[in-house]
Amino acid sequence: MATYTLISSQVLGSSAASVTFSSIPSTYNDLKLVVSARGDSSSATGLIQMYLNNDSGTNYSFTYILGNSSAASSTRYSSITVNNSISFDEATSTTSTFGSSEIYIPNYNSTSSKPFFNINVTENNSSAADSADIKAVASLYSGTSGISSITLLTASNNFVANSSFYLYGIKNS
Amino acid sequence: MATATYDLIASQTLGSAATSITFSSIAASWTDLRLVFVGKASIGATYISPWIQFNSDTSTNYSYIFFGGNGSAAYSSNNANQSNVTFANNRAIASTNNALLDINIFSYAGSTYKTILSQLSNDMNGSGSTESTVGLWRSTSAITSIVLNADFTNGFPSGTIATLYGIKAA
Repeated sequence: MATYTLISSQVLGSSAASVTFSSIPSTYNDLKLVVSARGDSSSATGLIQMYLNNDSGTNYSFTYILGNSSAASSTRYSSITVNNSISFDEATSTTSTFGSSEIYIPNYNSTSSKPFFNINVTENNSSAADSADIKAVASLYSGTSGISSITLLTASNNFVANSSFYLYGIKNS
Repeated sequence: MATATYDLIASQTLGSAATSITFSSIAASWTDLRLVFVGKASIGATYISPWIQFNSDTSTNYSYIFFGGNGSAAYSSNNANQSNVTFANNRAIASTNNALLDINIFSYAGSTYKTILSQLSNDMNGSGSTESTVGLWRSTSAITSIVLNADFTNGFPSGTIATLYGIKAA
């Protein structure tokens, strides 16, 4: 019996402001979202905003460690209205570079707070500080409903064509 | 038809508090193992820093290095000749909400030393940490059992979930 199943994928044929996975079935135990994305804002890197269940309440928090060619650092955000921890490449980054992220959400049907992990990398063959980064993020969603939708959007402008988003379901029974 | 490469080996959801979770009689049928733990400290134990051992080996055959962030600083530490690989070293897992500990064990059935790579997600909305650990078990035996210990009496509460997957390279 398959334990690791593709639920849905979206590979953008043209630019889009957001990507949504809705009506996520509750038939799995864990979710894994794999993102390869680039935006068209005039900066080297940006942050993807991720909403769970369209929840814009203060139910998100995260702690991360960041390496961006300077000394490693750590930052925390508590009781915020969106998880914006996912890094991705933007328009001034090297052509054809896309930020890569893996988000693992265990026990997504739980009715208590849900921890999840994401690791994000942007690399574009530049030695300039802040032009690329690697970030490991401990996230927490304090909503008490099972997760049935995931929405990803840029802070401004769009994801460009060929950005890809894959959502997998993982069973433990 | 493609061959399944990601298989469930066993999953445990604790019906009552327990000090440890054990997976035994692990077959050598896969290339790598992945252990996914979702849990927290018991109400009676304020904090836990879980640790792992293989094949009931309690000798100092383990070593590990970790780095992480606790919201205000990055940190790293190297630990040689240990009796286990310990996780959540800088900010232990509390009883407030669940943490995620994702442990990958590479070439577990081989005859060389075993390397593990783990990621801890332990945000508690105002405290906690993210921590990556690379561990080494200096044994040439295939791994046939794994124990994840909470390090406190009654350390894992009811509802704790631990799932072991096998991953095939071919």
